[in-house]
Amino acid sequence: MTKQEIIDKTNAFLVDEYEKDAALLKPEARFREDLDLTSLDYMDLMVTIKREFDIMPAPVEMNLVITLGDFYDFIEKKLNEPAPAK
Amino acid sequence: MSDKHPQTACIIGGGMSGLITGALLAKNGYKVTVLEKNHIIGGGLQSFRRGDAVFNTGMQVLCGYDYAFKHFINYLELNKSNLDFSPVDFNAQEIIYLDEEHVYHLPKTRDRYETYLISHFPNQAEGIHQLLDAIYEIGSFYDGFWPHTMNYHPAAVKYAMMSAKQLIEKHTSDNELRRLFEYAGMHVGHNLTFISALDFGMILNLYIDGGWRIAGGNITLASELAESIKHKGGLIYNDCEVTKVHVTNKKISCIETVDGRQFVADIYVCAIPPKVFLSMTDGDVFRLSTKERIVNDPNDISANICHIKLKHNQIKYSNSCIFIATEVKDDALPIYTSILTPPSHNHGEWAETLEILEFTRSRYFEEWAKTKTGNRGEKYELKKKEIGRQMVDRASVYYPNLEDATEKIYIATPLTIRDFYANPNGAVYGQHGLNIPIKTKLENLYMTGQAVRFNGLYGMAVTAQMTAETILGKSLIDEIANA
Repeated sequence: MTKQEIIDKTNAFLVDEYEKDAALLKPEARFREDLDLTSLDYMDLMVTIKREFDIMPAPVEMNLVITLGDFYDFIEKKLNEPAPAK
Repeated sequence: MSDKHPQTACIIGGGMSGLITGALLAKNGYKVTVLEKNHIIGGGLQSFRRGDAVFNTGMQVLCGYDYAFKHFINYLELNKSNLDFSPVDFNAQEIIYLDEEHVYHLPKTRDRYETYLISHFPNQAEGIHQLLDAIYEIGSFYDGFWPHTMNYHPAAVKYAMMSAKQLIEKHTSDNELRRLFEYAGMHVGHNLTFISALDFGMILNLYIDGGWRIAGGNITLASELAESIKHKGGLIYNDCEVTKVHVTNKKISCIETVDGRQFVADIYVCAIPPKVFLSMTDGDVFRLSTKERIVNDPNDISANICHIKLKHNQIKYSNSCIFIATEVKDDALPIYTSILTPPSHNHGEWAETLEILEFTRSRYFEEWAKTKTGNRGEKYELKKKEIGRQMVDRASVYYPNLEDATEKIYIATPLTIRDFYANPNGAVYGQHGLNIPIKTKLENLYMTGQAVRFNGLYGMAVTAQMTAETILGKSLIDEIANA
């Protein structure tokens, strides 16, 4: 998945499911302050991430995500991580 | 801001989370109406009478009283003369019985707790110290446990990514010591493989710092909260089960009760398990991800609880929580049976009642899933008797004369809990820890209770505060902390 595809997919679910204003969805937008997404929203985000990207990060990893730009990078990094050994 | 706030709030559910949220809103100018489906308020935290014996349900030991709850009591101006919070035994908050020769009396406060453990496990001294350092580091992330700082601290990541069991095994190598620490699972109803090190650390920190009990009976707290709501012009309705929530244009237009009454308010607060709330409405309440998590919540961990009326002068009153190690076949459940002699205002040397609790799963009672209280049939009654016999048997290792000392036994099973608490899976802590957002897709509906954050009285209080703050659009922390 290209970075642009990650951005498009993310912005689409933030508008559709999380009812965020598309105009707010800039890389520098902060999750808490600008997008009004609190730690209570992170569990939902994990479900959405699993559905949209088929990866399962731990909610607490979102601590390191401050802005939407961080989120795009975070998903890209997670998608490129080697699959855990089975 | 304040003149724009709606003035009426309708709280669905008269358990502790509904009552505390209601009391916070009433204190801040709302006219509050609480609708409770049962005959009495209090939800999981209350008292009931059988003959001349009074029993408490729900939590028997509260943590976080010093940190937070006493400030709530002051802030809400509850009548303290009717509330008797008393500390658990300073020298033996928990008595851990692994076997006849290995019984541990865990004291209150970190220094004493650590010294005590090291005196019994001297070759584990360094590990015990490091483990307690980790537990208190986790406690520090929460900064006095106030909700405004409860968003996970970045340094908490490593603790959230490991289980409690992994944390303990990292610092200790003695199997008996590891087994001892499993008692912490009793506070959340899971064994330590299923609890994150972060949750384990937070809970153990609170309990090591001190547990409390309501000596006047659990119901006194619910009653005082209800009085505080009524005193500010609010209303509490018992026997008032909400059955339908009407939604128009992304707002609740009214709610309807089982007897056809309708209630209209400016805002509504859901203080019942969200899965039950969903069954009351066709409206689009939650975003898709939230709804998926609510509907698919698998938690069915519940409890068998044995309330025993004791004969006179047979069992000594104890101000400790006693945990007896047992073999549990279900690998998700805690390995202990807990025993308590509940406090009363005037208890003397002898206990009047005793409670035994063991965690179990609702699925083990599937056979009677479609039955109602009082009509579950003879086979169920026989099963209850057998459960009671086994629990008394297990508790007898600590109280050898328990069987002879027993006058009467009353047993609650996961079905009792399911039907009384209205928890869809009979889970004793409800749909807890789902991290359901407080705001919903309906602009006048807010969530509170253990589905939002933690279980337990402490969890209810901080969640109620978060909900009230969201509704009021302001922080209450300074006012509460300084009360």
